[in-house]
Amino acid sequence: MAGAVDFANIAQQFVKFYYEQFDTNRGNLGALYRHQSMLTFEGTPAQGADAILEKLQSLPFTSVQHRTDTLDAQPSSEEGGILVLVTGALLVEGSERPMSFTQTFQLRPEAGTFYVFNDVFRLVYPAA
Amino acid sequence: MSPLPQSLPATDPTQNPPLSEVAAALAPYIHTRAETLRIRRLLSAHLAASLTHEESTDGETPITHLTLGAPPSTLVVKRTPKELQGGGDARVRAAYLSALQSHAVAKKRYQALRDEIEELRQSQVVDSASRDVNRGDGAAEEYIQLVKLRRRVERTKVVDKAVERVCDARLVEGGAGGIGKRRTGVRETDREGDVVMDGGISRSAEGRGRGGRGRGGRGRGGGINTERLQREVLKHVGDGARPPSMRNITPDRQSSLVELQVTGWLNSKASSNDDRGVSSLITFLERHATKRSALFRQRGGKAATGSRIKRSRVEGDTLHIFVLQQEYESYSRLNNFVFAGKSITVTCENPPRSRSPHNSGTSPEPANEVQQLIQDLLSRRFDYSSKLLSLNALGTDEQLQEIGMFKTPETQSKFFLATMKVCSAQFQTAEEKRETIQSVSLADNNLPNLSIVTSLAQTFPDLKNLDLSGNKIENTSALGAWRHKFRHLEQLLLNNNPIEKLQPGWEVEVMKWFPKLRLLNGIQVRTDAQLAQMDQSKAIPLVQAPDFRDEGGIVQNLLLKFFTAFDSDRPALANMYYDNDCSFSLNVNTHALRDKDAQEMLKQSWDPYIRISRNLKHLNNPKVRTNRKITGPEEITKTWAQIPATRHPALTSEFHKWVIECASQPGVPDPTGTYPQGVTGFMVTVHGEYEEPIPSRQDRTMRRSFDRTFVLGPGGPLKVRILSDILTVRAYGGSAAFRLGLPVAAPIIAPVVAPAAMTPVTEQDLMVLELAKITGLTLEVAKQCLETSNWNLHTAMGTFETHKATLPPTAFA
Repeated sequence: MAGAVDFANIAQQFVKFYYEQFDTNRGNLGALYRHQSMLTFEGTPAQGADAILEKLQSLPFTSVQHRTDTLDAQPSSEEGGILVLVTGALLVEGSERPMSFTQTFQLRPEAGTFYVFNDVFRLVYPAA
Repeated sequence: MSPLPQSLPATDPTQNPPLSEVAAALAPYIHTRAETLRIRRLLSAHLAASLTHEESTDGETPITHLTLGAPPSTLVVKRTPKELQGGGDARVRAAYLSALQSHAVAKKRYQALRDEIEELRQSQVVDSASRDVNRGDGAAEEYIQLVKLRRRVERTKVVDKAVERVCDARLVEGGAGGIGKRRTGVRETDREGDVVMDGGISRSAEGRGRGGRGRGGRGRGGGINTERLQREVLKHVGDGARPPSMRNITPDRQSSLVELQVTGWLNSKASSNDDRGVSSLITFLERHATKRSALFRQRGGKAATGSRIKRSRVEGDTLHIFVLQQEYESYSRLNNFVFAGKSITVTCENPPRSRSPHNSGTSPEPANEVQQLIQDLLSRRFDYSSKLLSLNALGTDEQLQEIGMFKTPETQSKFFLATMKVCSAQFQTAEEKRETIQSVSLADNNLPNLSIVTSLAQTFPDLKNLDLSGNKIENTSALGAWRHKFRHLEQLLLNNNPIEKLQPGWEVEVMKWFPKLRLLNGIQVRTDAQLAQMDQSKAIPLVQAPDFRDEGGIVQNLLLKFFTAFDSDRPALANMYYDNDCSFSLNVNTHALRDKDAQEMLKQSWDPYIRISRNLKHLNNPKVRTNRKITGPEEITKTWAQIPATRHPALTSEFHKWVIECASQPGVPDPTGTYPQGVTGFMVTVHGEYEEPIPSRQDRTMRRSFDRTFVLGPGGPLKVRILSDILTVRAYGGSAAFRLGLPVAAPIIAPVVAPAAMTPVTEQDLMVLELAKITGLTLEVAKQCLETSNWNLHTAMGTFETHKATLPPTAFA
C-alpha cells in the first residue's frame, strides 16, 4: 500500500487545518469535500459537499472550539487513502463544559491533494 | 547448623555406585548419630557460654542452638570468643561481632527513646484533646505542637503588654497595688493552656458590657479590684488567643493594638458632662468607625460586631485610644468629623503598614492612601441588602476628584483596576463574592467603551445585573471586550447610550453574547421556557441514533464475534481477521473527560498502553511512528498480548453501551487482484466501554471507554478481513451521550440497522459462520444449506458435498 506517502504527516496537517477552519470559519470546510463525500454527524448523514456544508453551517451553535487530544492514522486504500481517528473535546458557545468527541476521517487522494471521503463525527461524552 | 543425616540407608539410590563419588565428597560432613549429638551438645555449650540474656536469666528461654532460630530481643553477646582473637579472618569476625553488639545497644537506646516519645505524645494528645487534631500523622502533630507553643509565646507577650498598660492606666488614674495578684492570675491562665484561653474569649465577651470595656471604671471612682483587672487581662488574653484564621497562622499584627490620638473635643457641647464628654466621645467614635468598616462585615447576614475601642486614656486635651490594627482605618477616617459641635482631629503617631491580608506579598499594592480612599468609596457605595455596588458617576465623586483620579484615562483605568483589586480582596472565595455582589452599576460614567472598566468581567464573572446606562457607548464593538463574558448575566441596562440610535438591531447581537440574559433595557428578551430549552439544546446538540449501513450482515457478524474473541482469545482473533496487509495501532487519550459519578475517577494508570500508544499529535519520531503501526497477525498478536485483559459488554443485551456506525468504503484492496482499483468495503466506527482488571486489586475491575475504527475488506479465512484497526482508549466517560440519542428516530436514507436491532447471536448464527468458514459458501447460502439440513451441521456438510458440483459460483463468497 502506498508506502511512499507520508500519511502520518498528511493526517496531522489535515487535522490541524480542519479544526482551525471549523473553529474560525466553518464555511471554508466546503472545499474539503466532494460530491461523493459523506458526513455522518451524530448519526445524521449528509452526502455531497453542498449538503455537508449546509449541515455544518446549521449546527446549533455559532462558535465552537475544538481541542484534539489524540490523532492516529493508517493508510487504508489501494489508491493511497488515509484513515484518521481523532479524539478530543469541544466547547460550544454558551456552554461551560467541554464535551468529548471522536471523529473519523477517510481521506482520499485527488490530483496531488486529499479530500474527505468519509467523515463520522460523534460526541462520546455529554456536557453534564 | 542443623546436622546432616548421619548416614544414608544402604537401599538409598545415592549409595549406588553411580553416585559413590558424591558420597565420598560428602563423607567429612556425614556423622554417626552419636557424633551428631555430641556436636549439638558442644554447640549448645558454646552458645550458652558466649551469649547471655540482658537481665537475669531467670525464667528466660534457655540458650540453645534450637532457640536461637528466633533469638529473643534480650539476648546479648557476652564476650568475644577466644578463638576469634587471632588474626586474618578471625579479626574480621571479631569486628563484626563487636559491631553487632554496638548495634544491639543502639537499637535498645532507640527503642527506649521511642517509648519515651510515644509517652510524651500520648500525654500531649490528651492535652490537646479539646482540639480536633488528626492524631495519625506524627509530623503534623509535632508541627501543631510547635504552632501552639508559638501561639502561647505570643499570647504571653500580649498578656504581659496588657498587664503593663492596664497597670499604667490605673496608676495614672490614681489607683495602686494589686500587681502581684494580677501577675499570679496571668500565670495561671497561661499554664492552664488552650481550654482556659477559649474560656477567656467567652469571658471577655461577657465583659463587653459597659463595665468591662476598658473605660468602665471611669467616673465611678477608680478603686482597683482584682476581679475586674483579671477580667481586663482576660479580655486581652482573649484577643490574643482568638484562633487564627486558616490563611493567617501566626497571631500577627492583626491582633495587636494601634494607638490614635483624638484632639479638638475639649470644648464641645458634651464637655459639661461628668467626664468632660469623654464617654460620649468614645461612643461617637465607635459608632462612626463601625459604620466605616461595616461594608463587608455584614455579609452573610451577621450583624456587625462593631469597631470597639479597646482601651483609652486622657492626657491633657488628648484622648488616646487603642484599637485593633484592622480597625485602624475606620478610626483614622474620623479625622475632621464634627463631635458635639466641634471638629475633632484624629492622628496617629505610628500608623500601621497598609493592611491587605488577601493580597500576596509580591503583587504590587495600591498606595496606602489610594487604598483607603477606595475602601472608603466601597463602603459608601455598597448596599448590602440589594447586593448592589454602585460605581456610577464616579467622575462627580468629590473625594475622588480631590486626588485627581479622573484627570486622565490612564489614572481612571488604574483607579478602576485598583478598585477591583480591593473588592476582590474582601472575599475569600468566589462563592462569597458571587453571593455578596450580584449587581454593579457603572451608569453615568461617560464611558465610550470598556477599556477602563474591562476588569469588571474578571472580578465579577458571575454578575447577574449590570447597569451601563448613561454612558457614551456607540456600538456593539465598543462592548466587544465583554462579549461572551458574564455567563450568568440576567439583566443589562444600556439606556441613554448613543448605541440605541446609532446601531439598529444592537439588541439582537447583545442578546447572543449573554446566554442567560432575560431583561435588556427593562424589556424581556427571553422567557424562562426559552432559557430552559436553550440549556438543553446547548448541552447535547442533536444526539442521534447511529448510521449503520451494513450489507448482508457482514459487519454485524464480524462485530458479534470480534469483541467476544478480543476478550477471550486474541491470538485466534488476530489470525481470523488479520493478514499481512492489515494494520493495528492504539493510542491513549489521557485528557478525555471522565464520568464523574463513576468510581473510576480515582485511579487511571495507563502504563501498559502508553508503551504502545501511537498518538501522532505527540509522537514525532518517524521511526517510532512506523514501529507503532503494527502489521500482520503475528505482530498484532504480540502487541495485543501487552494490552490488559478486557471484558466488553455484550452487544446484544447491553447495546445501550455501544454506538456503532458503518459506511461503505470503496477502493479497499482486493486480495484476488481481480480489481486493481480495489473493491467496496466498510468503514466501521465503534464507541463503547470495557472492564479491565485492576492490577493491584485482585477481582476488582475498572471501566474504560474506547473508540475504535475498522476498515473492512474481502480476504482472509472468513472472507472478511480488518485492513485497518485504530483504537483509542480513554478514561471511562459513561454512555450517557449514546443513551440520550436513543429516543430520537434516525432519519432513514438507506437501510439502517441500529445495534439495537441486531438479532441476538444464536447457535444457528455460529453454525452458519462455521459452515461458511469450512465450505467457503456465502453466509446466505450456508444458511439455506443448514435450513434444508434441519440445522444439523454434519448433515449440512453432507448436503454441501452432494450439491457442491452443481452450485453456481455466486454461492461462494
